[in-house]
Amino acid sequence: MIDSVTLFNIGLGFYILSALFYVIYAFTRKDFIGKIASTLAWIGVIIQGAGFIVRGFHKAQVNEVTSLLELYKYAPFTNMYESLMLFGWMVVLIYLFFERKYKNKMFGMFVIPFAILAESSTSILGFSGEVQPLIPALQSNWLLFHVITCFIGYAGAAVAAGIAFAYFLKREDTTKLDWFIMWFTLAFGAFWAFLSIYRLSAWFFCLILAIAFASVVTAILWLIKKLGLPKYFPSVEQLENIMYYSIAVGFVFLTIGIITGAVWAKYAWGGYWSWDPKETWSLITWLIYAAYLHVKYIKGWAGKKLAYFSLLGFISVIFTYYGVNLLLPGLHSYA
Amino acid sequence: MEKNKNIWDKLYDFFASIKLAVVLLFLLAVTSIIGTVIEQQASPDVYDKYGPFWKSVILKLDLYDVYHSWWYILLIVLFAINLIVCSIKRLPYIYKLVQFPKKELTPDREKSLPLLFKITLDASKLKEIKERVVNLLKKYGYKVEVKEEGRNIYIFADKKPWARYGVYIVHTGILIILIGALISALFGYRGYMNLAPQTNSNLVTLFYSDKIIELPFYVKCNDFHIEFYPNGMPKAYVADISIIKDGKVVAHQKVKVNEPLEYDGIYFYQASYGQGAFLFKLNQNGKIKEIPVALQQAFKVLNTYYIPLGWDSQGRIFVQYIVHGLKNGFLMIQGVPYQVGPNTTLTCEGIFPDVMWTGLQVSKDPGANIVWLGSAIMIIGLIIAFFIAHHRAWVRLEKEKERENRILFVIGGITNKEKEKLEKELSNIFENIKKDFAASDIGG
Ligand code: HEM
Repeated sequence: MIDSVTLFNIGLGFYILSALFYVIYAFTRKDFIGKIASTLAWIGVIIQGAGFIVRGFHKAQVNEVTSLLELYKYAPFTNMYESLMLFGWMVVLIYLFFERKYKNKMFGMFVIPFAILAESSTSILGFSGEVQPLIPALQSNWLLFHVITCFIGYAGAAVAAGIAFAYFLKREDTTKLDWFIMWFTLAFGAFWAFLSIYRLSAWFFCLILAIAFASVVTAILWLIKKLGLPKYFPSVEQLENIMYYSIAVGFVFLTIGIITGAVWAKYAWGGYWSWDPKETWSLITWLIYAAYLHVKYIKGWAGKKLAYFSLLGFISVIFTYYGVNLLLPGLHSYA
Repeated sequence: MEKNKNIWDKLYDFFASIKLAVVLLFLLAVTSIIGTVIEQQASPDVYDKYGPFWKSVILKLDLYDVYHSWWYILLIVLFAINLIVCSIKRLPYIYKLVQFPKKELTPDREKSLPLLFKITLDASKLKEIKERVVNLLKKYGYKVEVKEEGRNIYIFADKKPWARYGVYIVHTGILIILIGALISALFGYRGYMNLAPQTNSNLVTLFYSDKIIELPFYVKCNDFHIEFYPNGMPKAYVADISIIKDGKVVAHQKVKVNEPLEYDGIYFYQASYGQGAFLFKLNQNGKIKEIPVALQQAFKVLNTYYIPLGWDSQGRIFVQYIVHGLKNGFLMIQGVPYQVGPNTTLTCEGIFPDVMWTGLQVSKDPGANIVWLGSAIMIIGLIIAFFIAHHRAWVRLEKEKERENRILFVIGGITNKEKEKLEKELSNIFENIKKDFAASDIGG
């Protein structure tokens, strides 16, 4: 039987090709190129979807599963490798959903790279893709729901962050501060992603690498704006709308994720809430998005400030995912 | 207006404001970070590494236990008050909006609608027009009411008005979760008991305190073992546990990680394991009783709890004891009797370093089910608040005064979400009517 890691990598290859075509599409505006880009992304999603199924069966074998009731042992979402793959897969899937709904292919070049970055940060260097049996603490039905829902939540946050970038490119009144915030978000995300690959001892190297990466990407974004490409984006109002709905989807799933995590904790550790760093950081992320949902009801708080909140929430997601694992060990050290 | 407000009005406005909500959400987020950076609930000397100044700050501001500090709890209380006052202020307004809408689209009211279409139609088809509009609205899922008044026909159409309550369902769920958490904090506990096979106990030592709880029944460990995968990784920790009440076995289960035993609202979890057990002998007026216990498990003699914390190679056992909540310790030497009360001696007869015991976590959490209830309510509320929209549409068919063969057709609407979808519905209806009934000689 074909190995799941191979399927994930083939899928990742399709995402990379698709991102390339999305960029070409953005510059040429040729319909058939856009179609190729979407088709490539769909093929990637289907192949990785098959990857999850294959991996599920493989895991069932390794875990000596004997009955269907032990469904959770098939769930291929129980370590850093698998959860990052799931994250990338969800980002592309959610993106494709919005693409169909809003009939606009200009964002592919912003959103797909998030998935590529997440997935390649595992399979190229860091975490092992080897299928391992589950330690006892992870043997729970709730785990399945917990990890899936959290990751849809994270993916919603990532899509919203991608939209926030497009939003700053689209607006006429983008200031130096806005550029700095975009640059900072990129550098922050890249820093933790690199750190998870090269480990804490190389933090200075990672910092330099992240700054270089963020600067290059910011320069490309600036070029995109200079070339006038944002005029093909949806309108500013539509972008705000898409950002809102990505966060709404993300928030609902993050909420369910935190609650299923609490249920799981109740059955595995004896209490639904222990202020473990991972729990606390998902609560922090949740509070930031809750604030996002309310600021628009305050007079004078619209437009850019909502986009700032969206990026702040995403920074918190990154830290909840990477930072906590690397710096603040707790009960969640596996994922 | 502003001047007439007294202090209570001001306080009311302050607590009803959404600005306060955002500030509190933010403060809770920022202060929560502290507890993930500074080690929590550790002994004071752990904080020496921050230097004397920061150590005193940490101790004074309870930064060593952020989530139970007075100021964190104050933030949560303010947050709850904010949520309640805000809902009390807005709910009557929402209730009126949902339950008692104005059903006639008068020319005055037209101006306040974000969406509005108008056209002049052929009056001879009035009845068909009315029926067509009603049917189209019904097709889109609206509940429709028609009212004729003088020269006008008013149509009022409503779709899912209850969706307006979504936000309040979310907020209610949050309050219920907070109530559940409060009940957990006040009436719940978490502790442990270590049981070697074939020993039993009713004493639970609480975490982070010197308190010991006496259960109204005994917990007995019949067996404990670890199962492994072929590659040597642990697959399962299995403790065979019975609950004994009044000498009878009332519950019996293999307790594994993720499969706790529940009895009378108290949960027993397989949480840890270890090695080492002791056999103590109690001599009370010549009556001998044997007490086998695992390492760190409490037992009770007269009014005192004893906990054997460890032993060394020379047969010395370090024993902690707690009387009336006060903790102290002493060294016991194997085989030497210790006077622990009038005519009562305690002797450690044996140390068994190889005996494996199961570490059971014991918890009682009367608030948990309330938290789950609040969570379910919150999630349902969120789905309604985000993804179900309230649409409301009005139509007026107005017979013109000057020209008897003409009527004015006005359609408008509002929604809390999905502006584009409402616009599509209303414009479709409008185009449909326009196509078939527009007055031939004049336009819209
Ligand atoms: C973590 C806590 C909270 C959560 C999860 C939450 C959730 C929500 C959600 C999902 C919405 C709907 C937003 C939208 O449709 O875009 C909302 C609206 C609102 N929330 Fe909250 N909320 C929280 C705390 C509060 C607090 C403390 C207040 C107190 C002032 C408050 C006041 C409001 C108000 C006034 C609205 C608008 C209601 C309307 O449109 O009529 N919320 N909230």
